[in-house]
Amino acid sequence: MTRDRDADATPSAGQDLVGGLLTIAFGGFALSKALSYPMGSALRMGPGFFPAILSCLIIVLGVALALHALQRRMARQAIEVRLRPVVTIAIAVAAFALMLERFGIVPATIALVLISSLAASRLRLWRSLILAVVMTGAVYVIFIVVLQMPLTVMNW
Amino acid sequence: MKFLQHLALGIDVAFTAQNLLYCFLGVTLGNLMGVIPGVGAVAAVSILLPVTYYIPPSAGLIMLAGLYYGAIYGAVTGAILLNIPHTVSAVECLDGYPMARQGRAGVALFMTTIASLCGSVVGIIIIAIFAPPVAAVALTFESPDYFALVILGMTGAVALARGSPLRSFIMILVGMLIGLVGMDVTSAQPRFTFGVTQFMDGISIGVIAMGLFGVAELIANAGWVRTSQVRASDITWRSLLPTRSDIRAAWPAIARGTFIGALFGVLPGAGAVLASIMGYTVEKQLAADPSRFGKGAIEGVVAPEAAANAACQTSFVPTLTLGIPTDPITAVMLGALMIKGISPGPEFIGAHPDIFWGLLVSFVIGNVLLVIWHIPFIRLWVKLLTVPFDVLYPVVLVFICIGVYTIHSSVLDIFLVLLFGCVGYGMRLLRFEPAPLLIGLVLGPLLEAYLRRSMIVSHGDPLVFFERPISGSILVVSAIVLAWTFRKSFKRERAALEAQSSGAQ
Repeated sequence: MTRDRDADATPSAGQDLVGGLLTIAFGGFALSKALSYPMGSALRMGPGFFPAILSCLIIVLGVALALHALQRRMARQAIEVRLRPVVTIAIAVAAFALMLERFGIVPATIALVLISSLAASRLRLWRSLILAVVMTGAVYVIFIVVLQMPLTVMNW
Repeated sequence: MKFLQHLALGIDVAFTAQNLLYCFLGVTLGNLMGVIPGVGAVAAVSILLPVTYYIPPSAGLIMLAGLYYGAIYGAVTGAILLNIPHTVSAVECLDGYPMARQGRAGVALFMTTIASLCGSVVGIIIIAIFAPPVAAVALTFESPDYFALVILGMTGAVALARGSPLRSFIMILVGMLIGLVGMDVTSAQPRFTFGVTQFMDGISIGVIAMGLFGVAELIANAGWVRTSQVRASDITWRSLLPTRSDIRAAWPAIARGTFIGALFGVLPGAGAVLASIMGYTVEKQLAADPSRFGKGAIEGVVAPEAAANAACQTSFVPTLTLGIPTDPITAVMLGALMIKGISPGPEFIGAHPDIFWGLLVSFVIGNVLLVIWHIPFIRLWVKLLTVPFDVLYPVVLVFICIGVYTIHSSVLDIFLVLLFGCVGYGMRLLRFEPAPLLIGLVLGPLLEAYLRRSMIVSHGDPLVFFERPISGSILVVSAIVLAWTFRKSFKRERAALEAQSSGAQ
């Protein structure tokens, strides 16, 4: 519930600085790529022309954002990263992706539900197990029986 | 007479069994996703985007549009009962939740349903009246004019987005660059593909939207606990009925909200979110006693709701007549139409009258269905809100993963959605809004194409944009809007800085 309240306050100087630097890095990377494509002329623009303009604009705006941060007093305010949900959801989705074609949608769905349940602050094992079974059934009915999508069901 | 013919055509299309079914599915699922905390309208539209690949374009568009306004109807339920600030219904919390705590949740739910219906109906009428003439005018536009329109769309999205304009500007440009991934149509040169064959066709907007809005939202909200104040058994038939004074206070607010929403809906970048905020602000300023606001004033609930729905409908005018999206949801819809080989623009209504008028009639059907869902069946949704979020998010995650895989039967897309989910979470931490990025994704390739075409027409003379009256005046307006936006934000920053330094002394 804190998220939307945060979204309306002004970003901190630290958020501006990190955001600005990342923007510059992104723009710089894109520019280096764009310059490797033919530029063409103003009359007949090559594939590199437009991305190069965009990248330069992004770099300029990134510099503006970073400078804006340096103008302000740096409050020692940490950017709070909640690692647990990021890591568990990443592992869950990666597991699903790796299992889907090799083992089929049934084991992949079970893995996805069980692993992603760990992202919650409190683990309720029985609830997760029941949810995994119910979800697998629902997925089977919706995607295999009703929509008849060409998915591997189970392949041990 | 012509209008009646169009109406008849629309009724013919919308009342086929298939389209009725997809309209029903769209509004019901949209409502469901709207009620569920942590899934918004954008996530709802992108999760169901793959389904549209398997059905005809009119059915697909009807379903996606139904998801959009259905989610707006649904979001208000969570706002009133649980104080959940959904993106489209953040301001409804301010007075809706106090009403619920005073035991007037039923009245709030009933009146917002009526407000939604009013806003939508007026919005639909505005589309029917204004879309065809706007398209007719747009037919005379040439490449430089379109270039200018896309620039106006960009500046609008920067000016009206939430948060800092500098950040929104960066996000639009980043979106545009990501939109360029793939094979360049004119030169067949692969750009930003990193040697991956699948990237030659670009990255699907559905994958990006599901990552930035779906997965990122789940990461940010996982482990989130909340408590419900209202039980389903508290919402009785009798509790829904407003008193005479409620009705007297609410109807002018609904009318004003509808007007504001209809106006804001057609502006690029504004969409339903800004319309509802404006609706609330205006009510508070007009009120004889502004102190009632925040304590359960009914005007503060109905005006933003009417505004959000009117804006949601009128945003289809620029989307369908100019091909310029007004918010991330219409951007995803445009993406869906383009995959179907239909490019929305001034020719759209003339070339596909069945889709356009069918969609319009389906809006009416969908809104009636939503009123039915919300008045006789409101207890169902109240009950849904008691399902804990840690049960819901794995369910949503499963649908995202399977949905994204079915777009191209590609495992790579699942990893991409994860990547964009993590990027989206990082953006949220650094306070970058994902909405302008999605708009940029659609606008980027358009801007490049119009720029190139204009340059060929003018023999490489960039002054062409200012010599043509239409493009010239649109560009001047864009420049004024942009200058005004940055000036305003600069002034606000300056004031905040001064307040900070004087507070330190």
